[in-house]
Amino acid sequence: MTLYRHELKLNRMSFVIWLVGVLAMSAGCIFLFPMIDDSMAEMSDAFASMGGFSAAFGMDKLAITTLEGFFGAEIGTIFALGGGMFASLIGISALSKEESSHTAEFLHTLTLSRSKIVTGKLFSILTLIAAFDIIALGVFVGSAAMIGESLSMKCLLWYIAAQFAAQTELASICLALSAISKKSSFGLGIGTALVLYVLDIVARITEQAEFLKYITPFSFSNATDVFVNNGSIEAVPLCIGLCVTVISIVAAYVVYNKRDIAA
Amino acid sequence: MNAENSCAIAIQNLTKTYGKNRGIENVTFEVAKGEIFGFLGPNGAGKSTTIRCLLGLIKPISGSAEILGCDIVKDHREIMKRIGYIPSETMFYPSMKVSEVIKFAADVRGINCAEEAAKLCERLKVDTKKRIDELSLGNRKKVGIVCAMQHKPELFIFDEPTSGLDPLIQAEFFELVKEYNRQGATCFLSSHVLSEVRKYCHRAAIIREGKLIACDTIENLAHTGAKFVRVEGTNALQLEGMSKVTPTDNGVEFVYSGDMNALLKALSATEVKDLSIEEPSLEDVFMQYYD
Repeated sequence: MTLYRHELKLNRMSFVIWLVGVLAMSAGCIFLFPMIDDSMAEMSDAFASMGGFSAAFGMDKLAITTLEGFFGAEIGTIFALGGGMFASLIGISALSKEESSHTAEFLHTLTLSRSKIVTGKLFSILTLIAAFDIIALGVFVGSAAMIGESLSMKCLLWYIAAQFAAQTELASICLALSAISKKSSFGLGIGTALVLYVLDIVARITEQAEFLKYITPFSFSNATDVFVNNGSIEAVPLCIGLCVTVISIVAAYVVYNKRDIAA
Repeated sequence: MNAENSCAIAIQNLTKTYGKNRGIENVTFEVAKGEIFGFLGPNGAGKSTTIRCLLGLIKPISGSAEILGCDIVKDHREIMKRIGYIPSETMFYPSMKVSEVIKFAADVRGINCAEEAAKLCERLKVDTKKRIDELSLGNRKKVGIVCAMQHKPELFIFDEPTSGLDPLIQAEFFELVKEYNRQGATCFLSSHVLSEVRKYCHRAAIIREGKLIACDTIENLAHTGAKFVRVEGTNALQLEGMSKVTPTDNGVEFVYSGDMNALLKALSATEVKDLSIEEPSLEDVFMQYYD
């Protein structure tokens, strides 16, 4: 519990910066919506018929002139990328930062087993991701209400739940990488999130690459898909994602318990 | 676990390599409970590797070791409860205040050490309101000492504890070590500073190139049979057993551990103006082991 609280405290500044940054952009887009929906109405058909580009951002499924369509195409992308990068960063730095900042000797010579260290850090990551998503939910609902619009609460809740699952998967993959690495590689964390995001775009654009949707957590957590399917999440990619999450967490425990800790 | 063990530390054939690089090889020695034990060796000799194996930070490839009767691999948590450790390069979380770091260390141990911590901070002149990133190396070391001592452990493991400390704080640190030692604590410290080992340690071990080359009382280590020789009038001596050879203005001085007759024979064949043969200082003896 002490380590859990300690980790939350150490990550609070990063949490606030990412939260404010991502949610300011998301809320800003919602506030812009009433000003641009008229002009977008003329372009709606064009947006929906741009082939791969439309498919990549879900504009072939939902009209961008509705708040839900606009949310799926614009805000969903901002939030998925921002939340994914935040989750990846706190995951990639969780264990390796102790060695790269030379605090590992201090931490490991207290009375914590290596498993307890991983557990404390894992729960702090899950708490930060949950807090990030819950605050985002409040900001989405509040911002929509402020412009006199509303988003389907059911769809929004499932979207946030899917985002939580996707961000947890990204954080878990990065936690496993962090257990292997002796350096706090922020580039690796951001890179992991971006590569998996690009795989989702490729899977949506190219039929031959559709199988990629089973690899990336951005596929089952896509905002447009969740809103189009009335809140239902595609089961197979989600289950694969949950399996990857569990395997990554187990790998983090196993690797971290076995390897030498650098000074 | 062997609760009846009278050794604070018992190391048996401990070996650790880093890929193809040498670490330590078949290191074996014991530290008795209640001892202040020095661990000496040049940079890269294997002192920190030995300590890091003992602390479970790195895993030995063979051999075994017990601390306070507990196996270093199986009983890591039990060992950590009963020891206090100061690393050679003390680092903490930069954004935390000193008081937060000290409290964090106590909270993780689940002990209220506030009284002892306050006493240590006062004696070592630790400013608990400062942030870690505002501290010099020496001041970080002082925080490390407080974190290692505040829970009054049975065994202290110190890796070069006085590096970065000013002489006054060094003296205060050893006063604290002696006080805890009088209360029954054992102290195992690695050091480059021979004077502090000579002054405070009961026994010492010397490690070189990953191998233990001596382990004895300070008195016995100092009496190796070697002599410190100072010759005036010639510097042309070349004998087996000469070490630490230093040319002087009109002669040479060296530590000699070879056959004394051979030395006298060599000296008699040269123009000697003055000669002194003395017991070498402890520093000279240790340098012999190092060379």
